[in-house]
Amino acid sequence: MSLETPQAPFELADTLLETESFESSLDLIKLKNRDPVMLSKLFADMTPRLLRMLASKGIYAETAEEIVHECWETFFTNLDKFEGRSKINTFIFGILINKLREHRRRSNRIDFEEDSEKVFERSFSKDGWWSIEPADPYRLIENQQLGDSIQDCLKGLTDAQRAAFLIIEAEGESSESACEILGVSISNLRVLIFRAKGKLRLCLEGESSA
Amino acid sequence: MKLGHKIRKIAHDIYYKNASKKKLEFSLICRDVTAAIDLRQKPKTITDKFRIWLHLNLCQACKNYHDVSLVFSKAIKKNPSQDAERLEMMNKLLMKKFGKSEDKE
Repeated sequence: MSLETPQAPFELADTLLETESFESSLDLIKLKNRDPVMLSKLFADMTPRLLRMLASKGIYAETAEEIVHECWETFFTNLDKFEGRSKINTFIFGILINKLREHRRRSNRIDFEEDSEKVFERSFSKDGWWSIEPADPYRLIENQQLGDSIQDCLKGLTDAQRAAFLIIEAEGESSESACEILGVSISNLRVLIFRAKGKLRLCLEGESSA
Repeated sequence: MKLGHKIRKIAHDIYYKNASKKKLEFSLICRDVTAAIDLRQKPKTITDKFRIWLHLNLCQACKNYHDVSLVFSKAIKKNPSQDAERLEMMNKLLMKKFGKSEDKE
């Protein structure tokens, strides 16, 4: 895999741009009236994303499909009350996260956090410069199987770190939406993503050198 | 050390020596630049865009961090791993369940 080298002056900053979403073609009134075209678009766009999110948490096949059905059930039950103040995918992801928590409670799994905050604070000096500088990622760039490896490495993150990372990187949600979906502050979100990336890098570099 | 890194280090040292003497922080601090990368925050003005670009061209550590983030972004998007047929079936079932009933009175 080769890394694109930005040429024009502002391309580096432009890589922080958001991706396009389903929101731009959404007609809420048609959706509430169960217009088949709008429904079909909604399912085509969102169902794979919901399943991907569940896959990242180790939930696949029938269990994942069951949770997605429950998610849609709740969505349509509450759709009439949805006024469009937040984005519709934020609303749906929020429902999914709650369904996932219910599922975990039912299967007696405990979510726990670790010391993301401590690791983050250690990485920067009080003036805001790096205290532990990240190394050149040449080994990651040369890894041709990175796409496959990253799915395995995601299992090493906590649920919160994985969800934060995927919502921003895979789903392209804005940081504001991600905070709303996960119920965390912007600084917490930042810490989760920072820690997730640190762990992924360690895991992937370990695989690259193996 | 690669040539690009050497050049970046020289430019970085010159900039920050002068900037800190004159108390200039135009090119931002690492913590803020990496926050913008992590949160995928779009620079609001052309000045902000330039400040981030300047920092990423002066600071090898942040450039490395930015490159790693890009690599992860691409890797995670490249790997959807879903069964297309099963997905289509599921969407058909969803349409049947939640679509408008044609038999409604």
